[in-house]
Amino acid sequence: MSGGNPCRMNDLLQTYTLLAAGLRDDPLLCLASAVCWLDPLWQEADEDWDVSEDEEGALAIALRVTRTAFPDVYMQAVDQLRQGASYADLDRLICGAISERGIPLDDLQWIGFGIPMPAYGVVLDDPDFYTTHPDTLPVLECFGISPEPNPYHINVPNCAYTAGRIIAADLEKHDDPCYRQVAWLMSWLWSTSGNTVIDADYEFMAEIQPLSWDKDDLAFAIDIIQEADGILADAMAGLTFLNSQPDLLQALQHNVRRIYKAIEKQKGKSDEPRIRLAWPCLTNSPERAAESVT
Amino acid sequence: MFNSGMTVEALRDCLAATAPVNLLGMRLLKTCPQPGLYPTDLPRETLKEAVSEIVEYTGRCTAAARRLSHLAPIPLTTLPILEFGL
Repeated sequence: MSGGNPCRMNDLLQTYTLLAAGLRDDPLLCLASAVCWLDPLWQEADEDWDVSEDEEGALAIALRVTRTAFPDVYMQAVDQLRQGASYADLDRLICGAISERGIPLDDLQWIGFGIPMPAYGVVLDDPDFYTTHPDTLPVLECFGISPEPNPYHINVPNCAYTAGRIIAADLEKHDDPCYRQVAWLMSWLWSTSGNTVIDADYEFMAEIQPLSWDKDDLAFAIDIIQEADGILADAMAGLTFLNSQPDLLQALQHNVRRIYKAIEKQKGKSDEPRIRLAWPCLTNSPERAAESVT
Repeated sequence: MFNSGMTVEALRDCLAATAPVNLLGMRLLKTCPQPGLYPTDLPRETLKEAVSEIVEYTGRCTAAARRLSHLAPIPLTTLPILEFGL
């Protein structure tokens, strides 16, 4: 720099400033600059955004999806691309940002198939379920279901589903919120909640046509997932509560037996039996008494 | 013009009177302290609004261009265009 000509450098800077001012002052050029800055994919030329490691073109699809569904994420991704971010960086950025907005996305390669919905559904004849949810064993034993003696051949009779449905319907009307949480537990265990994310397992969900990334579908998906997360939180709270109340577990087992007997008496009739179920009043338990004092 | 009652002059005046588009992204560019560079550190909501607006605008432009490209050709039997005379 010491040997350079300062006058020429000033001329160069002035030219740059003059051109930049012209770019801003002319409406057409300013519009073109704004489009280049904020919406470089407007002509959908995917090849302009080739990134190594993106052999499947997932990034181009992700940019198209975010462009309309998550404009701020699109802008962040474009910024990162301009700074030379790698595929892994962009994968992390886009998946993280979309997950933050309520759609769990683990890998960019899934984005092209539509909205990836989680599936919390229970598969009672799958031995893995008992490994991942051992705390459900005492509850399921009340229905006569256990992975023992043969975890690879778990028998789940239809009457167990009927009993689960009847108990869920009965407890959801209960005044005590803890009982209502147990109702959600039953809805989850017996897939009767009416929320697809709660009731469907991954295998079933994979067969459903995925929702698109359109505005309405996206809002619908977020609603379903948020509702499912609320239901699952209640179900888990209900499970913890139920496991902490031996009297309640005993009452559950007693009610299940009564329902099984009633079903047996029906001799194959399809109507669900009408039984008045009895549940203990839990306000007398030491924990509940302590809760009511505090 | 084309039997619609509009003259070429009226059409030209109409197009010339169209106000230049004024999008949030353009306004943000104009307020950028460093000329020639893109603004940084903008609030997320502002950026989101600017991108949504411009995506919607470019979408409208693309749709209009697509519609124009599919217009049926109109034979100009009464309009003399000397520059393209055969």
